[in-house]
Amino acid sequence: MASAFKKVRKPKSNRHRGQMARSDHRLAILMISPAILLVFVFALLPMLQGLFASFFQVESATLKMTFNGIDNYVWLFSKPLFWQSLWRSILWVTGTTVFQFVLGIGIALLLHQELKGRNIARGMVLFPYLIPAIVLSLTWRFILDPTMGIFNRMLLDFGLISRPIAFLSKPHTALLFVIIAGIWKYTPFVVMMVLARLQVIPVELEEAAKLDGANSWQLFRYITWPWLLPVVIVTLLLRTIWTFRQFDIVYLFAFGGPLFGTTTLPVLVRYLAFDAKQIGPAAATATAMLVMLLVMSWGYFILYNRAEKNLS
Amino acid sequence: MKRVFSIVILTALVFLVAACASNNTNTNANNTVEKVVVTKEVVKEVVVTPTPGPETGPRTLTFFTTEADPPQLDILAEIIDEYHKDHPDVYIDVVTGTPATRGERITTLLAAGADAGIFEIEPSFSRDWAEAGYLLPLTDVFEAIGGEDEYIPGSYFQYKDTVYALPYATSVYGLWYRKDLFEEAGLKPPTNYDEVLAAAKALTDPQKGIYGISIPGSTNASVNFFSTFLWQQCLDYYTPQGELIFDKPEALDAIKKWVALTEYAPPGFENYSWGDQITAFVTGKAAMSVYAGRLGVRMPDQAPQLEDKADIVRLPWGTRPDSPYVTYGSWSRIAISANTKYPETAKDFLQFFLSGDRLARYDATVIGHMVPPTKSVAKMLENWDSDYAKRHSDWLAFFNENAAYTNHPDNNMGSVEGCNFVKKDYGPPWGGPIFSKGGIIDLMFQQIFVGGEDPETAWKDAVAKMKDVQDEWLAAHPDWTPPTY
Amino acid sequence: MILAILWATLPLIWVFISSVRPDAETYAFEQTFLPQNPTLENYATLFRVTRFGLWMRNSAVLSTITTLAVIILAAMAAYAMSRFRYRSFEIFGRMTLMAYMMPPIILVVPLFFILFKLHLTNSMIGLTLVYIGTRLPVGIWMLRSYFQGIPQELEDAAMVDGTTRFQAFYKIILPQAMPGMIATGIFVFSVTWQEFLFASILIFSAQKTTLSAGVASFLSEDWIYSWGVLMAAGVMISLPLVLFYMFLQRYLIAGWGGGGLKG
Repeated sequence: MASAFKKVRKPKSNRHRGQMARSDHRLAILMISPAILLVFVFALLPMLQGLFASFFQVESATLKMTFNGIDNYVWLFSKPLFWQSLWRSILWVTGTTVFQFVLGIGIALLLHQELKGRNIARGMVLFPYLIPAIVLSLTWRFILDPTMGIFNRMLLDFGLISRPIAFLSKPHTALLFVIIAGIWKYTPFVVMMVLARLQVIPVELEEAAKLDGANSWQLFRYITWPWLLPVVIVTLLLRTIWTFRQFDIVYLFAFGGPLFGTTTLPVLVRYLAFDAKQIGPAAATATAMLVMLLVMSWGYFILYNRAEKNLS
Repeated sequence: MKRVFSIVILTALVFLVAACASNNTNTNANNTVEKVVVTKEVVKEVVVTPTPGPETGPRTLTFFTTEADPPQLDILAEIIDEYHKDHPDVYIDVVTGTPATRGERITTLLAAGADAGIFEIEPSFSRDWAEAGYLLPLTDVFEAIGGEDEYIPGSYFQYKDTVYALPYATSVYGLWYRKDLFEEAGLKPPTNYDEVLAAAKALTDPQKGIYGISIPGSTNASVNFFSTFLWQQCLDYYTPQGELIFDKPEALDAIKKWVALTEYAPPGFENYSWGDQITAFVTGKAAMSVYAGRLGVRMPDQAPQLEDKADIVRLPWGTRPDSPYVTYGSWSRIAISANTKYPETAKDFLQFFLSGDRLARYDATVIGHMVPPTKSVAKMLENWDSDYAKRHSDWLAFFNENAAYTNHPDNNMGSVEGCNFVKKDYGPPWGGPIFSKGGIIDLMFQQIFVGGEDPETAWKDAVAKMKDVQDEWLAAHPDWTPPTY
Repeated sequence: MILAILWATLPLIWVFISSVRPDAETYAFEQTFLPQNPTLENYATLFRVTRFGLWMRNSAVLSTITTLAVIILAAMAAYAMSRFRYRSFEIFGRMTLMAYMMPPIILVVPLFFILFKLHLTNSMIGLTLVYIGTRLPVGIWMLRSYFQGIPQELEDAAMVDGTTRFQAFYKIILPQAMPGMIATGIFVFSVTWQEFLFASILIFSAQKTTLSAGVASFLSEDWIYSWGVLMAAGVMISLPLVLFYMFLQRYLIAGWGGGGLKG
């Protein structure tokens, strides 16, 4: 950390150095300082403390810290709950992102067509993205409620079931519906990103292809899709990161239950830190998550660079 | 310039890291996970110095409450205004908090020797705080309001012949049932376990969408409702001295009987919590439901057509003639910080608030759900001037009559000994992980209801965990001595 | 297309319908699809028996201050980073990206103690600072590539004419970057308005909390006494965002399409 700032004295590559007055440097530093300070105190410092705490045994009553090396990690990796939570996280991330993209790209292509009422439809389709997690969980809990819910009511009326099913009482169905709710909320984000990219597609390309007699599938496969790919990858990166660390929707849906059935890794961190009072292992879980996120984003950046190159 | 900048940043860094490191090692006042440690450790350092002397001139007191719903706060503000009119020098600041953080907040203040004013007390901390000298003796206020003749036994908090906390309300849980469905089936209101089981079975009709009895299987409500069942089987989790007795085979028997009732519970009961108990009943989907006064209060709005068809009886869990009658509930109480600047003024206001029509108006905000601790206020509420009270004075009388039988697993350790119920005002200090929301007992039922586990396995598992929790706590607190009664 | 619209809006329509249904109908044995006697009673109850109005005000104040602060600070930082390529700035950029990926849950416990040290626990100022600090990385990240897309020549030309660099930034660059800043602002506002985790843990008194944490306390404290009122709360929490969004929709798509979020 410290060395990073020391290097300010000897900037190695400063392209604009010649053109800039001393006051410019002062200005640059003045402009960036408040951001550095705030990000440091309220994001980086707590993050470092979290990493730090993962190597300590933390007494929950007194917060006394004793160094215990990798004991927290050993403890954590020996618990089935950790591996189960990791598995549920994987299910949650893949389940939501895959369907978000299939639905999202489909809807975006649809809304890109010259159809009547397209603008209104665009607006409406984006609504779920604006619905706060708390409202989302209220909504879906209400719809799925075995006593009050419209979903059970419809299944009963159509004669598909003979008594109401408590979807949120069983670990598997609870997770399934959390995933469905996740798809519902975040598909619009994909629509938005893809649509924005579609709007700036070079018309010449499409027209040239049409002149060459390409059918609509070929048009999509060879023109539209490569054009979309960089945005799809960036969006996929963002969605995967956000979905992986998503806490509020998953937690508010069923508070991690029933029987840990909706406990993904972030919910596990909360459980360990606040319910089980295991602050060290909680920090270790969070650190493990961070490592996974870094690996994921590294992979996506490689893909992204490749896609950009292909395009040009 | 850049050099100055990097030095500034570096200094800031060092300072911050240092600040946070020291923070990690010496902050314990605000963290009350191990409730008792905190209080006991601090006793030695804090010198309690009440400042007696004339209390004149402008005085401001704080009043800390978790009853933060606007209707309750409105009445409280009204009462404070009335007091202020008679005592123009006295100002009272209302501070609200949530029940989850109530203990933490007050502990921080008391442990720091600060003036916590008048506050709602955390039941499980009462004894330690009284012992530590944090609380102002309120025996004189208690006597002035009417003493033992007026207060329901067990409602106020007394330690070694001194009263330290005075109650304002409790909730009383009973069995709500549908008179019309019972009559149709030729059944009488249940008075014991066999009758309630038979009625639940007879009234369950999935074709019509009606189920016999609503029982909450999810976390928090689960442990508290099952406890009433356990107590009525002449059992408890611990003896008054803290010896585990939940490992007796009779406890497993109680679990099995409780689980047998859930066969007639509405689908999804395993996810039911407090509110769902009301929902199941007011939607007409459960013929019986365990709840307190709030279910009745909701009925005029949510199920006016059921209002005349509903009634409430005592929880009928008894399996033998000498089964004790115990129900769920915990008294909400108010105490005053021993360190307060104006003890006499605080006591005077407390007496004003907790007596006469002031308390009646306060408890009437959720009439029947907030059951008053004194006989005179109870009478006032039974004759309260509202449509609901006029139509259902019998329900209100029911709650008042049964308020003395409330008990709480985490606050009253060993109240049931054999088949006798004598309320003990002390909770197991290691009880948190066992009785709290999502604790060991809740998880045991989740394993049975959701995980499909056999009750015996789940019970053995729970008992083993309870032993571990207790052993661990006792090992960390070798000085602890069981209470004596 | 109709299917897509239905999938997106049906649950919301149901929330709205349920919010105007009187309690007696909501809790009827056989509920009808449309309310027989639609009423705004649930909304009145919401404001009468909970502190909803206060929470709404708190959320509005918090989100507005956070959004403005993030836009201003992030624009300055992103500009500095895009025009002055110091090694330390680059490292800071990388670190913001890392902070951006950070699961917020890991920050909560340490943050609690940092705020405690600063005497800012259970304070809206503390929560605002936390929001600004944790949203800034996103803001910087979104705006940096935006500023990189604005040609250097623009301000060079202005500076030849004698304006200072800060004036050039203020008068030339900022207006150019307006769509990106609006998109960032919308994003930050909606994320902050929805935030639940920090608010629920760093604030513990009912008067100071936000909408999400306040309403969540009904859910987790097992307070579902009236679904109708809860649905009314849902409508009231979502409405400002929906209106805000409809008003600024054009900028949002333009800003994000213009490369705002591109790596």
